[in-house]
Amino acid sequence: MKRKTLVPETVSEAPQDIAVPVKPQRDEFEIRKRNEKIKSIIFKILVYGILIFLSALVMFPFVVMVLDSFRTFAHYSASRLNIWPDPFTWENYRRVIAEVNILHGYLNTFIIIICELPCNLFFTSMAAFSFAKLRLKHKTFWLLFLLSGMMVPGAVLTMPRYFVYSKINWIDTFLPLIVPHLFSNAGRMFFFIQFMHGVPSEIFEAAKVDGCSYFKMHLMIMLPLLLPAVAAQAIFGFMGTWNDYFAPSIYLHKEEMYTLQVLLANFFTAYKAEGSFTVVFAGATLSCLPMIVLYLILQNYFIKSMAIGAVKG
Amino acid sequence: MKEYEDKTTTPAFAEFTEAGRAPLVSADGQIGACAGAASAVEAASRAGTTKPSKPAKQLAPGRLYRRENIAAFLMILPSVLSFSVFILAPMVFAIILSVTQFEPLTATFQFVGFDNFAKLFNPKDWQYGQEFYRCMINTVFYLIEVPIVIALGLMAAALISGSKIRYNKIFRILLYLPTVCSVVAASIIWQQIFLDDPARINRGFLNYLFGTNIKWLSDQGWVLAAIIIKNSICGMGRSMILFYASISTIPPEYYEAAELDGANGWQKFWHITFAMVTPTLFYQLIMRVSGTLQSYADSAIFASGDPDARTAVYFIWNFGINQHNYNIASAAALILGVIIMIVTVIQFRRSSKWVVQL
Repeated sequence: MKRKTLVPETVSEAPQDIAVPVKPQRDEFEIRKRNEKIKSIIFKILVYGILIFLSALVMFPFVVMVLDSFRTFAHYSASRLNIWPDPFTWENYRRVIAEVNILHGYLNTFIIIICELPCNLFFTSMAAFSFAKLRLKHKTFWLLFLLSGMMVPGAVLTMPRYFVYSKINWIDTFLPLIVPHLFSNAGRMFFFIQFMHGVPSEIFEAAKVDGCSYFKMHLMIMLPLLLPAVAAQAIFGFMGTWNDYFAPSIYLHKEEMYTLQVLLANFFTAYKAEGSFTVVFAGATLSCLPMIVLYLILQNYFIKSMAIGAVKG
Repeated sequence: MKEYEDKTTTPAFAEFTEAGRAPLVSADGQIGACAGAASAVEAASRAGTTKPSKPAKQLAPGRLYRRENIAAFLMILPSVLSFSVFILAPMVFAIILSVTQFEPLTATFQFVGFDNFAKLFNPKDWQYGQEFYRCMINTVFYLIEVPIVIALGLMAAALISGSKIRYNKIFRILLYLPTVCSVVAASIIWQQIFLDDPARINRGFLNYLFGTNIKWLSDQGWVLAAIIIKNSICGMGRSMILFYASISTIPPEYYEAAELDGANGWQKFWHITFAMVTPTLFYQLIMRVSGTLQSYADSAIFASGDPDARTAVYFIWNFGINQHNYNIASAAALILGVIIMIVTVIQFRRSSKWVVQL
């Protein structure tokens, strides 16, 4: 609409004798401009449409899960499509906490993470410091030796590990989930080495001149500089252990030892037979909640950490 | 100086740069006013991984060098020991398990050569062979999800990182959010979506919505399709965020130059964005293929152990841990491991043709 009024205005402004040859040119220009504008609007609608569609696709199951967890079972089985909880109820959450002991699952998962993660971060960063900044004989060999661990698929290690752990009575303890992860993690070490290449070696030469020991160099100089990378790895390590299902489900058979995910999977099977899906949804929501909150708080950080890892690793 | 501060904002660092002890170098050593120093430090840092690093300015006496060597070795010792005990030793043991047979009476391992492998590869072996073939075929079928996930992720990332798109942060958060949830929770939810019930009482959302009665979770073809659909949608967020991180590092000058040359949107995407994210794409390809070949929760939880949806790792779990047949399970695991390694090596070989190296 606006354009129609615009065209006569510009024409009337121009002197008569020039306006005759100029006019078609201006029109052409206007049309092209308009076409471009329409094109960009269509493009924008398309882009937003795709993005909204993808977001809806991804988020839909989770929205359904959260809403269903507040519904009574009667309402849930009566109308599947009307997902809004009609009698809004906390009953499902009460049942999960009372019957399934999900708090114990949280506790067990936390115990494993707290025992394993800080120790692993410390030792992998120390090894990375040695590789990145110190002179080590046969460095290439040791590096390839450790990095070859990244090539080994976890599936191959399952059987022999399980066999040995069952012989030394480690089944039904947290030890198989903690001890192998205490000291080494090839991918994490590689990540740290990549990050350390950005730190100039001159700092450490200066520290050496000042009589600093190598261990202290790592502790006092490298670790503070490495903090963003350590934090990134801490987040991903936390997320990995929190969401891990296969290993705990193999090694833990007693109910009081279950981690959150194993607990969730097992009571899902039990309650599915009974038909109480809404309780299962409450449990699933509770299991996701800490990670979602953590992600929403640190979401900028997640992206940055990904950038460090993805671009260099 | 500015490049420097971008990478590290720690006060200790700033002091050093101000004191002028550290040369002015970007962390990647790509661009720099003082190109000579840049390349020197870059070479030194690269050498850290490939060659013995360059000697210090003052020639270190032998004793000092030995002390550094010992300290460096002590620092990697925990990792080396842990690696040897928990990865290398199990690897060797897995090979031993796969060529032996456990005798329950004497509690010893009898060497049987390649019998276990022969059983697995024999399609007429009703106990192991048939099941193994079915599991392997299922596992290979799941690989269909890999290109879908990567394509969707790249598309979403390219759209989000377009400068003209507002609210891109919201889309970024929404698309990645489900990825932080566990596989178990995702399987539970998606099972409800795909649920089928012959009695039509407990129909899943999808069947309910379209009024169909497709056996998403029990019919062989449909269960594979359901798992592929589920994984494509669930995995998209992670793929998107990796691509997004990679795209955000592309210098805007490239696009400006392309615009000056009259490149259109598609050309800019194909010749700049896509070309620059090929390392990320390659990384994802390897991780996804290796991860998909080792998927377990899909068949154990999502499909509730349905025989038509069993994967190779489910086979290993079923025979090894459920039925305590360690030898067959080890043999199967080794076959799977070799397949994964071969695929990885092939991808590495072929990557040199299309991955852009800077």
